[in-house]
Amino acid sequence: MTTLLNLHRVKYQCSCGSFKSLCYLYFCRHCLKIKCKDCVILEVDCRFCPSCYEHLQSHEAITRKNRCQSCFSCPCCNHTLVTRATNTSAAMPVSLNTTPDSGNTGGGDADESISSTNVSGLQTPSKKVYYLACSVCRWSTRDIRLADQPTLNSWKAQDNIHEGRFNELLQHYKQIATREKQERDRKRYSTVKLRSALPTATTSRSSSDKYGLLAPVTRRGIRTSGILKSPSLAESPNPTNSTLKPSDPITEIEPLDENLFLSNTFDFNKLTTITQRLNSVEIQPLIVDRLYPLAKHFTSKQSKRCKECDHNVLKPEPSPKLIKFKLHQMALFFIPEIRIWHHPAWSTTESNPCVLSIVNQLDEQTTLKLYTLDEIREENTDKDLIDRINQLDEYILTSQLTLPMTKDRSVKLHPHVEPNETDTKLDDEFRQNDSRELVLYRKFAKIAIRCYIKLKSSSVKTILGAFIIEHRVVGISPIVSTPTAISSNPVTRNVRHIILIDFGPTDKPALTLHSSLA
Amino acid sequence: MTSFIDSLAASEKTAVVIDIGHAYTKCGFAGNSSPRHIVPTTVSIRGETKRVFEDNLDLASLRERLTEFIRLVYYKYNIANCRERRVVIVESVITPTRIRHLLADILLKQFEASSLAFVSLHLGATYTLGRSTALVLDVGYIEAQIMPVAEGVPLAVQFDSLSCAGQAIHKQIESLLTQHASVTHQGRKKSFAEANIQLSEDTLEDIKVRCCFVSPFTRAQSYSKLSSDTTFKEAASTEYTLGPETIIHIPGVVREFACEVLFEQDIDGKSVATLILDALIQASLDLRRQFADNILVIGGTAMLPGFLHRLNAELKHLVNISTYVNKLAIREFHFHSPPAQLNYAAWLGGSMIGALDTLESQSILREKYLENGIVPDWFTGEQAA
Repeated sequence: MTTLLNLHRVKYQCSCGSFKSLCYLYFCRHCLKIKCKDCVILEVDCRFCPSCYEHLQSHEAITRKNRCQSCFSCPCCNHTLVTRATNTSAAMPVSLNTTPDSGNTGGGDADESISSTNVSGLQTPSKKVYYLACSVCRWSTRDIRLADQPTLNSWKAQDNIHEGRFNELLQHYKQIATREKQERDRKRYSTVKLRSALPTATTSRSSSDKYGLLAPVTRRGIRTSGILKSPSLAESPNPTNSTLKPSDPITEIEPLDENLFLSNTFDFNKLTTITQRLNSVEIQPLIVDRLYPLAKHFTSKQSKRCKECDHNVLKPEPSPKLIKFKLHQMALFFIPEIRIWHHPAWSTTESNPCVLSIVNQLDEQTTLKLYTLDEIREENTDKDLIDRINQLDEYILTSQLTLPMTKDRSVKLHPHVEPNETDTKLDDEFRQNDSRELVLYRKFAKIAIRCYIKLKSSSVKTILGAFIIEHRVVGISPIVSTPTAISSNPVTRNVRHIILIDFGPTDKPALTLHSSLA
Repeated sequence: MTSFIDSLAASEKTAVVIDIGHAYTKCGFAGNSSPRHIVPTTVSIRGETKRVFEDNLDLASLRERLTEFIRLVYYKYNIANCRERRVVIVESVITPTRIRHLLADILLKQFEASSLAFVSLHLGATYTLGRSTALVLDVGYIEAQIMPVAEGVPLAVQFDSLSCAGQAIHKQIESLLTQHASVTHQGRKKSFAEANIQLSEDTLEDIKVRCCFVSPFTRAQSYSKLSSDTTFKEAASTEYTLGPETIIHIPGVVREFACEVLFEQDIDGKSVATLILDALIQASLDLRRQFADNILVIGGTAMLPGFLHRLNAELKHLVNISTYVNKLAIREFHFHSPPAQLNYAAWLGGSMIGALDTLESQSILREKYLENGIVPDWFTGEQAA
């Protein structure tokens, strides 16, 4: 659909200066400005598993390392694993499985229909056991010879074998760091005392800092000497309790596994690919037999907040199953949308007449005023806007856009209607007030206007033109704290937006003109 | 069972630790024993996947890609708010200044992190050993970097790097395939050069990871001294399926000797092994024995099968030949193994540093940065005063 509507051709300027299509922009109703992805701060609202929608609070999610407990992904292809059940009889030495679900080809056992009776004819109680299988690549836990589990959700995650050593090291360094910080705090307080003492007091160089000259040196000394100062400092009150065993060198370096790599039966398909290895970070198995089901990672829903006024611009529903929004201030709902309807085959010397369509997405009637860049420059009221226009004109624009009618171009737009609306009375009213030069076509919330494009020079490759629209927005006023303010008037203001249109390359053929416009 | 430390670390205010490499990025939280994700350093712009650190990018596009990538790291992979959290970036000492400034600008101004700390990856790696003196060699994608760390002080002046790493292996695979391999395309067999196939970086990486290995020292020596009458038992060849119609027949020589580019001495006589020996020669005499006993090799490319064994054999061989025999008295080398997989060992060091109380004194605070815009650099000597 984006190619049908050509969304990337018409761009609006955000308050940070970048140009983006209307569908990617937000509108902050407190500062009454357009905001884009880079002007908002994202905050994580809700963490949930993408396959079972289990929703966890943030602190719980962090302890579980952002992984779901019951959903697993296939280590081969990363799709969700399906839990399958089979019956097995407990007494038999060899497990004979009957498969209750049809079409199961995941396991390695032959599909024999064997009843669960043993040799002596007695019925042994059959238990249900579960295994995980992937429906896409046909991998299953039986491929790695993992025993089928008797209960659901009992697949344990693999442990990190280095965790113990890591914690030992971390404890040791934490002790040293806390001590270092205490010393520094103590030193800071002790230098204050020393400074207030007699200036002739003899103090060691490292702890007196009378003129602040030694501060960078001390700081650098502390920073570069790191936290690994030997624990035998004279000033340390608490001796280190932990005796850390530094790591031992490798006694015997493993040579290359020649049987695996040099032999004639080497099959590289038995080795894992780099993506499969990196999916399980701690283990990173080399061969396919060592792959293990991966617990699914959570995804998140984010709410977006305007940087300037710190109010929310987009706030989703906290429940992962609902896709609606609590607060949905998209620019599309506040600003009319402009699309290219027609442009002729470009001529480099003359003015080319083009047709743009404006669609009103709001639920109320809007009055839109159109200005060309030159008119804004003549008006000379808004310095900031003029600066932006000048910058745009110098560096980016390759053509000049003029509109018919010399001044006071305002068009009224119908509120957004349902597709099967048939009442055309309001339409006819508006049509009477339209000037024939500007407005070519009007139907409900959509109108077509004419504009003229003149290329700046004949060596232009793509045609970029710009103009300005002005319309009224109703903002939310800041909360007044005085109790006597009964009715807070909503702030209404006229805002102006710069619109950049990219018509495409100069050698593009003309778009076909709709019959109603001709 | 999550340990006591992990549950302490699992709070809203833990620092985020990111190690942005040229090929892969490791991201996670401080105090954890492994990163949450290792992802390729790519972003998808307008539908195409592009590397963040492509060559010859202008500042504006680099900034756009880096912003998008950091947004992904925070909200898709780590799922953590950026505001009010500290960030630790693990990086090498020779990261270009413009990238450091860009990161500081993006993280502190745009994403409003509370503080940013740049940690040298070589120093961080020594924390994982519990030792304060070590010679750290990081073999990554673009280059192999070596830096000695003595008593907790990274000796940045003795830093050295060589561009024989992952990318060099990829290029060598391509050139060896052109020389030796054959392709079956649509049923017809032809040589690789004729078939004129372009291999993407991902395919080359897959060939490197699954088919190639580092040949043991004795075999490599006998291959280089090959004469027509001695026989050399080649490794098995493999058939690599490239697409529905194309199969590449990779002969054993390509599989075995693609990684030789790491150990072959180039025109200046340098290789990954000589990096270590030159670093030892440059080091002061009293530290040499300590460095030689504490060599730490990290980085994704060092995880190639047979790498460490070959490196050790090369070192033992090189100390006995003319260039080094008179300069270095050391004949034995000892390597260490960190409590992590080699490709995230540097991240682990950053995670430890990020969990300490002294992190604040090492970081650039947001308020200070907004005031004076200084990113302290060992190179320029600026302080975050």
